[in-house]
Amino acid sequence: MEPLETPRVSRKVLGGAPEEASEAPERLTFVESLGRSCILAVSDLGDFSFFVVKALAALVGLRSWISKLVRAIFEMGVRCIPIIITVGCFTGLIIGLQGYRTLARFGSESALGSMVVRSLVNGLAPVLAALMVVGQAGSALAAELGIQRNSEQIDAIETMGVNPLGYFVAPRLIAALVVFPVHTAVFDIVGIVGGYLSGVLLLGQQSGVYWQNVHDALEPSNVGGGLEKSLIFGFVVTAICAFEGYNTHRRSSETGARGVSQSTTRAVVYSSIAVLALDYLITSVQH
Amino acid sequence: MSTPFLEIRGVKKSFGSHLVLDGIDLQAERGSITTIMGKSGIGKSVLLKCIAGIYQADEGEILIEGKRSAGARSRSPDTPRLSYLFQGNALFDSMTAMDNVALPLVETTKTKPRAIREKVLALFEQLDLGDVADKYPNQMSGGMQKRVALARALITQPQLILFDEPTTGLDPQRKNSVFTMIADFRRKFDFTAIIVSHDIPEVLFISDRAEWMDRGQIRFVGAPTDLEQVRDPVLLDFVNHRNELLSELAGQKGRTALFADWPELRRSYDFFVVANCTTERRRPGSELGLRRFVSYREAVAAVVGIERKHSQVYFLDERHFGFAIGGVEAGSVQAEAERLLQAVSDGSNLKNITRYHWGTHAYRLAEVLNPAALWALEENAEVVANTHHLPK
Repeated sequence: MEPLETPRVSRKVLGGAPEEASEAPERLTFVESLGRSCILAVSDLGDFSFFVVKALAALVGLRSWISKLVRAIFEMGVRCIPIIITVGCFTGLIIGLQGYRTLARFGSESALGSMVVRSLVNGLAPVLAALMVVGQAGSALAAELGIQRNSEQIDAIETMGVNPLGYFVAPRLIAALVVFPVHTAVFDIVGIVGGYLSGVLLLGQQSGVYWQNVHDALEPSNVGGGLEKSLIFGFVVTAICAFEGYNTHRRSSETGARGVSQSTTRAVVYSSIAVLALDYLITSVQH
Repeated sequence: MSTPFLEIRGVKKSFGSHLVLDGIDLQAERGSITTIMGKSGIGKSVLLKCIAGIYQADEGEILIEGKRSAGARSRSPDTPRLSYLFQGNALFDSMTAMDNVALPLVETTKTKPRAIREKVLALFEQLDLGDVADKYPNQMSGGMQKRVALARALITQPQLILFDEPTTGLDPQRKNSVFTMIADFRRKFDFTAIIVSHDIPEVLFISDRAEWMDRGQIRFVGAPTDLEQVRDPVLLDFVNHRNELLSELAGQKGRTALFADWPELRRSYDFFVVANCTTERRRPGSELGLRRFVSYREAVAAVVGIERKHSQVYFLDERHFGFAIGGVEAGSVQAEAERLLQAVSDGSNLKNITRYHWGTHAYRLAEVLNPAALWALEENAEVVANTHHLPK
């Protein structure tokens, strides 16, 4: 059984799509279509789980994994820092601006620092940081693996006796566990500074009050909760992007560049949905 | 009976409801070159990928040295090493040529980096790739990329190499040099090769065995020379179609006519060696690599002497002959013709010669006769016509 290597026709068959263009399309009732979609979704989920488990198992026996990990951290981490800083800064500025005005209505503008921290640390920072990394590193990962699949580079690695999941995917999954919390922490810091810029420098709140509130609101449970989320987001979105790119040949209805385009789009969309859905779930559990 | 190095028994492979391989049986002896021919999209590459273990066969077995093969996935040190030369080379575009070729050693052995580098550089030297070590694939020509991919396939000194259309996209000279490389390296490294190629007859010059695939099965198995005796209309159409199509495209009706005349020619002469039949005009006496270009008259003069002695006619094709004799310095046409003749006389090297001879028949003759540059040399044409009664 080769759930990952089978070309895309297997998915078509599972989905009941016609094998040959000349064959008449099968007419399905709404319920049948729904049922088939559910089966496909469960099948995809099973494939995805297999993929993740096999990628992690491939870590065993992986040679020079430290250099691969460092490279993956550089690609996913360092290159995304500018976008994290930019988005973090603007997010802090907006929260500072909106928050100050909202709080001022109730005469509670002194709580701005607290509001910025609570909004960011266990809420927006892990989500937005994850979405930004999905947009930059995740899409790049899916496209890179898709192109490597199409140009048979993944097959080439396999014929060298090297596990392609270990070579291409596993280091990135581990790198995500390092990179996402760091990104979230950077987002937190820059966001808080952004809140300071708009709340204190632009709107005139007292600096000491702002920082005191920030200090009070920065509880270990908040910070820890945010980092927990970032760990989970990082692992899941990296796995989704890698899965889509690695299986471009069997999950896309088109071949070549269009196939890569489809898998990259799917990677970004599914990852973004996963981040928001997981955020809801984790937040529900945390509180 | 000895066990074949590679044995495929009843391999079937489907993608969905589409049956691609429908019970493939194939055997390859150790150190042999087997060519798999067939139309595009009939599953030749799928078969190679099944052998390599990239795809798992639905049914049947693939045995290497009599043991079930896990393809390239096997990590066992006892398993014969296997390499795959991909049609598109599959070089890593973010890596230099050095890193690409070193990759299999870096990832699968404990060889020290310096030793790996020395090994790669030595291989580059052998493949005439001296200055590409630090170049990226997009900085190399197609021929260079192909040689780098070949170097990567050879670096682990595999016992089995699978070549998936190794000459796709190369010009005729590069094609010949790739086939020459494969033949040379097969002798040097003693690997078994399975080649999927559409370059007929060129690939057959270096093949020990030809297999023709159609509708998911092997329909023809034999020595390349056996293809001459084949009567299967589909195979005949496949083998001959290229020439006819080229004739149509180029408006060169003479090729088809010549092909039709070939059986007649064969009855008269057993062997043909064609001299200086390049489509380019080259000055007699000029040199290209190890080959010296001779005039047609010079070549025919050599041939005439032989003919008197043995009533056989030889033509030497400078390009394909140089290729066919596999790196022997073609110092003079006459010397080579005599060498061939001697080999024919004592039967010591008959297989190679007949193989070459098969590849040179009508297609090669057509090539000689068509270029106006050659026929325009009336004096030579006259000699040829008088000597061999070829249609003018």
